[in-house]
Amino acid sequence: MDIDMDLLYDFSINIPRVIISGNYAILDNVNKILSFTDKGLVADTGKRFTTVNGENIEIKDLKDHRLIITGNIISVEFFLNKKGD
Amino acid sequence: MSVLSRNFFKGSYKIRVEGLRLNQFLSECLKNGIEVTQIKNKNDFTLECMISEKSYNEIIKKKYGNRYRITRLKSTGFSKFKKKARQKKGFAAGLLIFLYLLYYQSLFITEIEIKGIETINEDEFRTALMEFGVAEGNKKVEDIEALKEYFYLKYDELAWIGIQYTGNKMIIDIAEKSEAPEIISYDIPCDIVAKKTGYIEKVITKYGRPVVQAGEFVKEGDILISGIVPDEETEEIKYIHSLGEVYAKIIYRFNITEEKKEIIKNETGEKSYGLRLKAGTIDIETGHQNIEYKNYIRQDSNIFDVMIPFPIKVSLIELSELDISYRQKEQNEMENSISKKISEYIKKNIPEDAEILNKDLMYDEERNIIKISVIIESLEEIGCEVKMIPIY
Repeated sequence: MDIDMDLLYDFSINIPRVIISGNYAILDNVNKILSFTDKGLVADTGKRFTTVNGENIEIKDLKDHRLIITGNIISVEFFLNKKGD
Repeated sequence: MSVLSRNFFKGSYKIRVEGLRLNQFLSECLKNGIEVTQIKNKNDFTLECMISEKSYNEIIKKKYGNRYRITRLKSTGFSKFKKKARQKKGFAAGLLIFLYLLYYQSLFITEIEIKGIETINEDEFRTALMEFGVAEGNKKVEDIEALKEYFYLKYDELAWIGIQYTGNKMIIDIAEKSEAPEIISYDIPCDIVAKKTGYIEKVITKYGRPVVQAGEFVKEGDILISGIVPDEETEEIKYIHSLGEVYAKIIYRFNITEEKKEIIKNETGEKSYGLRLKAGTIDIETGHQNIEYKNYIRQDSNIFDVMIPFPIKVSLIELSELDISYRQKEQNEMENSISKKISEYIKKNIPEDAEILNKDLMYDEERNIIKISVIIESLEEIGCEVKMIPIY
């Protein structure tokens, strides 16, 4: 990763950032939760919507624009927001 | 501080939120910086989560109480105990008193152990400790260095002292100085003085002026060979380091006793048991009130013995009946025992290089005891160098 990408990754607050490890997912830059069920979660993460799909999905912690999600995570998808970026 | 411990001290509630658009509730929590944990979606209209007590009371209840049905399911953390304690005031007060007593008793010394004491008298040492204010039942001394200094000043024979606490027990470690014989340099004037009382047998003067002669009686501290010598030519007095050996006949007198009969203790096999409870100054014993044994041996074995938080001791008392009989000792047996006692005395009191000249024994019988007066004559070197204090 070159330095531009590195800086973009570290400081950009308007793009989704997801870290997945086993049954845990950390979703950063969350502005709003659009939908939440035990099958999945849709969150507004700035320029894109992020969807985490799976089974027995729970939010372990919600604080400071960060979600810690646990459960059997099957997929993560990103969608364009209304502005059509 | 971890989230868990932070939440524990702040206190948190498990709540159930019911209503439409629960995602909006979560979004608003996110927007307002309210930490929500362990969010579980029960169905489309219900979710359960954990929320801090403060957030619940200040924000959630007031702001979202009319939009959602919020039910408090349970509370966790320290505040829960606080509330419980408020409800059970007696219990809380008791707990506080107990904790205070636990802390208060830790301020006192319950036992003092002195290790390594040899020549110093332990009773005197304990009295010295008490003079400083250290005793069982007193408060712990904080300034240990001052206590050490006090002992170094009080006891010259102290080489090192270590003081430490293990719980309520004070452990004092002592190392005593080993006394080295004083060696007087040849250029220092000295006299040779008698270290024991006796009759002079032989004086060998190497240097100095002999003051005593064979056959004379000398007391401890008398000068035997003087270091003050007049100059033959100038008649001036010279102070010299006197040298020589003085042998004297020393008489030791002591008494020993020997019993004619030997006591034989046999256990009959009859035993009785009891319990002893000792808590502070209370001492209760059971079991030995009703026994009819004339003679018995008592043996205590501890079942429970603690000093902290309070000194409580429970022990089992075992009383074994004894059958006491006497046996007349044979003459040989008594003679052996007496000579053994005399040998022990000689070993303890008479120097190894001394020559035993004579040994007299005088017997005196009294009921079951034989009293023996022993007189021992020995030939010993009694001279010892002592620095002279010149008179100017």
